[in-house]
Amino acid sequence: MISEHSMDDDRFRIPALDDDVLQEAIAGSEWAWIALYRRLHPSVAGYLRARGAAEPEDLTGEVFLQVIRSLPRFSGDAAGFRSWVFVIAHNKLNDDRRHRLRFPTDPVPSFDESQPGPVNVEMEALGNVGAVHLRRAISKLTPDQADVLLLRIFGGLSLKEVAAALHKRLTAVKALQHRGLAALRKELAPTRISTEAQRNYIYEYKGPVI
Amino acid sequence: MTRRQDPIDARFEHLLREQVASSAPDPMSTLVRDLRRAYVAPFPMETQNRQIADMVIAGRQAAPTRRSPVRRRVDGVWYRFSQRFIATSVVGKVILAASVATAATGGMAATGHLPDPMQIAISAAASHVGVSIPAPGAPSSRVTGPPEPPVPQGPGPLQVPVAGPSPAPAPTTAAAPRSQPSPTALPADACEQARSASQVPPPPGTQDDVLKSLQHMTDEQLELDELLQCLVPADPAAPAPPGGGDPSAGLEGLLRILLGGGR
Repeated sequence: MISEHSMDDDRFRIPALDDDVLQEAIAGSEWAWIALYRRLHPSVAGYLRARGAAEPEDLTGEVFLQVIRSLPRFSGDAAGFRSWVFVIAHNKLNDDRRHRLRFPTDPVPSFDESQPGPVNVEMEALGNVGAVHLRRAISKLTPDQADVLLLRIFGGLSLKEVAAALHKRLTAVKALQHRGLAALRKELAPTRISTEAQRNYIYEYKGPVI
Repeated sequence: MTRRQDPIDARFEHLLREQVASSAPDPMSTLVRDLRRAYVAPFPMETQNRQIADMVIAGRQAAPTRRSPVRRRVDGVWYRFSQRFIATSVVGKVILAASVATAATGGMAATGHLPDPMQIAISAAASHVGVSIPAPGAPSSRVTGPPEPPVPQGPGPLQVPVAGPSPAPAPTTAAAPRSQPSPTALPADACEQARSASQVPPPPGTQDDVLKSLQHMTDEQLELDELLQCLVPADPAAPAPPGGGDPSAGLEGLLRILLGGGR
């Protein structure tokens, strides 16, 4: 069973950044670059994993290389910086997919639902049931729906920021989010786990909300 | 009239704004939390250190260009605009082709390789703006401006004050410019030309005047020892010049040659 103590784990929140650290990083302080990396890289990697990136570690490294190169041109606050980093991650992911389509090198599918998810002791202890179901549910989403939901969940982007990142209208992004949530509900609701220890998972709904 | 937000969407927005306690027993909050829990995980420390090292190196390499971000941005915008304008716009391609054609025509005109009518037209047009372009039929490869007046034959342009009435006034060209090049290199047949010029009877009283004018000439113009020796023999026993003329007449002829009259 997932214990309650992990609910408040800061790792599972949208990472908050300090404006002063950001300004130091823009000014060229290496310690600030390292602080930003350590603060943001788990969420960026999580977004890339959830979107099915073939090599999320390498892609995360490329994202932060691009961030550091483009940092002098950035202007904005910490929240804007976090959104900017995730937009770079989104663009890098699309570039990587286009490159792999054009130059296929690995015949093995990069995403295997039967394999366990990322390193997470709690999930592994539960037999990866939740992770597998979440992966399956996300894979049922359209790419646009997945982009909208995952950019919002992992990067904390607002609807306007997502619309700008995806080059879509705000109303279209709202519709994508609504349909994506509905699809997740539909995909996760039928799953019933009888084990009492797993009763807190979202796919064991008791209420009609979702 | 405002549209009422769907409760699921509203709940989702509240969750993302951290306005709902993450520990709330809510399916939506559970969804968000489990998504993050399933995918958000830091890399191993070795991977982190490797990526940080790459990042720092990239940041140091990008550091010198960071000092002038505005200038760099302007340059980049202008470069991208010019490249895109030339590559995609028809007007840009026409301008590029015209520039290439103009440069090629100018180069061929400067070297005189254009057809004669075109070369003449370009040379005339360029001469109006002070650009020298060779015209076909020119004596030299470069035209230095309007053609110079022909150098009169006969006595040189040296103005020699005449003391008395001249019975046979020499056709001196007072209007001819004095700015002839200095005779730094004497022609090979200078002696013969000087002798022939000395056949003209000099006006009376010109020797002193010539000598006075010689005193005002520069040393460079007075490199005449060789010619003087061939005209005025230092040895009195030497034979007189043909015609038995006055040595001063030979000197005047020499000066005429040197100062432009006999060249």
